[in-house]
Amino acid sequence: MGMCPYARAFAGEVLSAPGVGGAILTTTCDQMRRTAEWLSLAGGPPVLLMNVPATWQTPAAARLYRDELQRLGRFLVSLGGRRPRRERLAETMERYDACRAILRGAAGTLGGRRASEMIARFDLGEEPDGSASAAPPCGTAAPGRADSGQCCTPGGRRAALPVALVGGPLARGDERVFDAIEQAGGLVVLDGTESGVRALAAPLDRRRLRDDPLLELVDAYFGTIPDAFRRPDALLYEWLGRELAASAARGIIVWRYVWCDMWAAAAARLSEATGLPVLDLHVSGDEAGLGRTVHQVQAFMEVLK
Amino acid sequence: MISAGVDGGSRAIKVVLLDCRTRKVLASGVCDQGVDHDGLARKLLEQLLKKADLARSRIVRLVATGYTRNAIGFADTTVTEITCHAAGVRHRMPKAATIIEIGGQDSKLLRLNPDGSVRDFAMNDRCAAGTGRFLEVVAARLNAGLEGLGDLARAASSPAPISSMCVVFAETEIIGLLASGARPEDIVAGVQASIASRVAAMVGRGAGAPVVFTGGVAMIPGMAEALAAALKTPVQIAPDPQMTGALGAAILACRQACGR
Amino acid sequence: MSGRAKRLTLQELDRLCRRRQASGAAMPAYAGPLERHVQDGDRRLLRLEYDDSPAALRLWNFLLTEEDRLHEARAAGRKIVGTMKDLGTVPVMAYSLPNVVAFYPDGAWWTPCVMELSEGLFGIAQSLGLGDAFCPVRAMAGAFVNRAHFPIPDLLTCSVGATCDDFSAIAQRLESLGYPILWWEMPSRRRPEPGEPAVALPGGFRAPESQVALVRSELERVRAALAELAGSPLGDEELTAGIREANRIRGLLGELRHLAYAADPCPMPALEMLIAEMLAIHFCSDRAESAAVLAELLDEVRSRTTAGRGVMPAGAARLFWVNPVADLRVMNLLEDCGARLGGTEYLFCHALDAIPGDLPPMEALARMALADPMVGPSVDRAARIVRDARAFGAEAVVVSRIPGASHCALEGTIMGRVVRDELNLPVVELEVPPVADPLWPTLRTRLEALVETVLERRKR
Repeated sequence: MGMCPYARAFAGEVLSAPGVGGAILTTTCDQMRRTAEWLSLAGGPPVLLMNVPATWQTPAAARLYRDELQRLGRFLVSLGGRRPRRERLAETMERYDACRAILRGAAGTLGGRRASEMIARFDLGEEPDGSASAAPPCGTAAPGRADSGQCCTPGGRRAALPVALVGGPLARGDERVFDAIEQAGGLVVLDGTESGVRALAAPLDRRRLRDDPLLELVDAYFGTIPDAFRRPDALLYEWLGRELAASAARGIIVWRYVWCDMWAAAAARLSEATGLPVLDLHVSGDEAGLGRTVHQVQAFMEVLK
Repeated sequence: MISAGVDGGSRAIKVVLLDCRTRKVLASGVCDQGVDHDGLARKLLEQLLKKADLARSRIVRLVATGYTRNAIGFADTTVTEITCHAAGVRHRMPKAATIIEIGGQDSKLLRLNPDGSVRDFAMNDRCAAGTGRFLEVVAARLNAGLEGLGDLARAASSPAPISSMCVVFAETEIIGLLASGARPEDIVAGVQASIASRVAAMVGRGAGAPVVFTGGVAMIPGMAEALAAALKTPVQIAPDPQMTGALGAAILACRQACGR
Repeated sequence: MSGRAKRLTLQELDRLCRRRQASGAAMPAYAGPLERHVQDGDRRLLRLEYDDSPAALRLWNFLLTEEDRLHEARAAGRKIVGTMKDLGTVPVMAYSLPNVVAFYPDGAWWTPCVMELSEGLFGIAQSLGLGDAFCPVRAMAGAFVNRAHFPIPDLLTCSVGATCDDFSAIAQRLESLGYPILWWEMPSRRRPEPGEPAVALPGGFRAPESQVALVRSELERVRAALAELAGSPLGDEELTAGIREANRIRGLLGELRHLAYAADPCPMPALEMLIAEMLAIHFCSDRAESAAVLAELLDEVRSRTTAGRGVMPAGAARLFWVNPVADLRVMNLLEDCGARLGGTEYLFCHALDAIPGDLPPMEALARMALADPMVGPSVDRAARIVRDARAFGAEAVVVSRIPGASHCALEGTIMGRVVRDELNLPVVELEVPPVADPLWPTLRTRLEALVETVLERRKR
C-alpha cells in the first residue's frame, strides 16, 4: 500500500528479466529512491542510485550532477564497461544529439503513439533514421491499425481535438492511452510525459562539446530538462507555456501513477497555470485500470467538444 | 472444571466449552452475528450448556475474543484473537509454526515460537481484497453460494487473472470478465488466487513449516490449495477451522483459572 | 507524594491549573487552563488524557501558545523564519541571531490532531489539489491560505532532494501560491565508495566528504539569507554560541528520554514524551523557555523515578515506537492497552544528538544535517532503531505509518526485517490517520495483541 505501481513494476523487471547486469535508479522521486534500496537488499543485480539534484539554480547543484555522472561512469565500468576517451564521448553525444533532433521533428509531424514509440525505441538503443519524421499521407492508416478516419495533420478530412499529454513515465503497454485518446476523437499534439519530448535534452553546443563533453552533458541534461520534481519547478511551467501555445492544445491530460505525489500536485496547478481544462488520469497500472482510463478520456473529450 | 471461550467475530459468534482437566471440547456452537453482541453470545452459551447438560456455575472462567470481544459483558477477561488462534491451533496441531487465519473481514499471519507462543504477527484489516468478503462478493455475482465456490474452482481450466487491488474494482473486473465470456469456474479460481497472493504478501520471506490455515475461509474448498500455490509450500487446514479462536479462548481461560 | 501518577482529563488538568493559580504558585505568563484553547477550536484536546504534574501542565501550555509567541514576535519587530523539512538544523542557525525566531510551518500538520477538523485545514489543502493521498503536512498549505494560525514568515527555507515527495510537492504548491522559498539541496546520503574520502557523522554513520561539503555550501546560502534578514552578521562566534545552547537543550532531552524510557515503572506518559521530543527541533519558538520546560519535566521524572512512582504499573510491555502519530490519542491508547514507551524514533533522532563542538560550526551543522536518518537508506534508520531499542530494553517495535507519506510505503518492511533479524523482536505496522476514531478497534487489537505477545515471550 502506497507504493507507486511504476516503481513496483520496474523492480519486478530488474529481478525477473533475463540478463540484467545492473540497475540504475535516480533520486528524482522518493519512491524510486526507496525502491533502489529495496532492490539492493533483494539480492538481484548491482544497483546504482544516482543522485539527481532537485535544485538547479546553483553551481553546487550542477557540480553534484557532474560528480554523479562520473560515479555513474565508474559503476558502468565496474559492470564491465570501458571508460571512454573524450573524443569518443563527444562523438556519441553528437550522434545522440542528431537522433534527438530527428525525434523532435517526428513528434511534430507524426504525433501521438508513433512518436512515443520512436522515443521508446531510442531509449532502448535503436537510433531513428531521418525518414522517420515523414508523416504518412493524409488518410493512410498507421501500420497495424485500422484507419479510424482520423488525420494527424491539421486540415485533414476530420479534425481531431488536439490535447497535450503531460506527466510521468509510460510503462510498456501504457501507449494504449494514445489509442484511447484517438478513439475518443483526440490527438496528442504534445507529449510532455517523461517518456516524450519533454525529456529530450536540448540541442548541444557543438563547440563546447569538443572542449569539455562532460560539462556539455551536464548543461544539456541537467540544465534543460524540465520536470515536476525540480525546485523550484519554474522551468516546467515555462516549457509548458511555450509548447502548449505552439501546439495549440485545447486540453491537458495528466498521466501519472497512483501515489505519485509530484505529478498529483502538478495536476492541481496546471489548470490555473494554463487556463486549459485538465484531466488528472491517475492510473493503477492494471488491466482494470485501462477500462477506467478509457472512460475518463471519453468523458474529457466530450467536455472539450 | 469447565472453561468457555467466546469468539465474537464480525460475521459469526462461536462458543466452545472445554473440560479443563482433559482439555476436551464438551460442546461448541456458532450463530450469526447481529446487533446485540452480548445478548446473542449469551444465548448461544445457554443453548450449549443446555445441550451438554451443564450448569452455568460449572464454568470457572470465560474469555472473550474477536472483533466484538469488548462488547461481551459477561466475559471474565478478553484476549485478542491473535493469541487465541495461536492457542487453538497449537492445541490441535502441536507442530504448527505458521498460522494463516482468513476471516470475513480480515486476515492474519501468525509466526509461532517452538513453544507455541506468538513470535510475530501481521494483519490485513484495511483491505477486503485479502479476506472472505471478496469471496462473498464473487459468490453473489455468480449467483453461487459460498459453499458452491469450491466445486466451481475445482472445475477451472485457466484461472482468470484478477489484477485489481480493491474489492470494489475487482467486482467491476469480474463483470467485465463474464461479459467477455470467461467461465465462472475460471473466475472463482482467479479470485481465490488473488486472495491467496494478498495473504502471501503478508508472509514476506518464507513461511516456517508447517503452515496451518484456519478461520472461516479455510472451510471453503480450493482456498487451501490456492494458498499453498501462492506460498509455494504445503498448507494444512486446521480441524474445525471456524472454531479455533473460541477454542483458543477456552484454553487460555483454563490456563488462567488453573495456572497451567 | 505517593501512589501512581495519574492521567487526567482536560477538566481535571484545568482544575489543577486553577488550584495552582489560586495558591500563588510560580507559573509562566503563558500558563492557564487548557480549555481556552478548546474555545479556540481545539476540540480534540477534550479527548486526550494528560499527565497530572505541573511540569506537564507547563509543557502543554507552552506547546499550545506557540502561535501567540510568534504573533508577539512579529509585533515586537522580530524576524520570523519558517524552516521546512530539515528537522533541527536551520533553527539552530536562526536562533543564533538576536532578533530572529524560527518555527516549523509543517508543524501545522499536528493542528488537525488537536483541532479535530474544526478549522478545515485539510479542506483548504484539498481545494489546492492536495488531498488525502498526501501526508498530513498538507495542513500547512491550509494554514498559509487562511492565515488563522501563525504569522506569515519573513523567510521560508526548505530542504529538498533526499526528502519525501509529498513534502516537496506541498512546499512547491505553497511557493506557487506566492510564498517564495529558499530551496536548499540535501543529497541522498550514501556509503563512501572504496578510496573515497569519508567523514564520520554524529550518530555513527559515515558519508563521503563531498556530500558534507555540498551540505555545508548549501547551509552557507541559508546563513547568508538569515544574516541578511536579521541585518546582523551570523559569524562563527554567533553560531558556536547557538550550537552550545542547542546542545544544552539536547542534553536535557537526552537525559529525560533516558530516564523516561528506561526507568520502571514508566515515570512519564507517552503523550507528554512525544511533545517533549518535538521541542528539540524547533524550541517551540522560544529557545530559553523550552530549556526551562524540559528542565522542569526532567525534575519531575527524576523525582518519580526516585520515589518509584509511575504512570503505569511496573513491568508494562516496552514498545519502541517509530514515527510520530497524526492522532495524539494513540499515545494514550498504547498505555490503555498495557504498554509503555521503551524508546522512540520520531523521524529526527539526529536532532537529539549533540552537535559536535570540536569542529568549525558550519562543518558541525553540515555533518549533523547529513546524519538525518531520513536522507539515507532505511537500513541506516533501522540500525539506529536497533541500537536504541537494545539500549532501552524494548520488547517489541511499532512502526506507525503516516497516511500518504511516500517514505512509509517501503521503509517499514525494510526496518522490520532488520529489527527481526538483529533483535528477534516482534514488529507491528499500523497506520494512524489524523483522526483515528474509525480505526480505533483495529488499532486497539494490534496493540493489545502485541502486549500479549510480549508478556508471553517473557515467560520463555
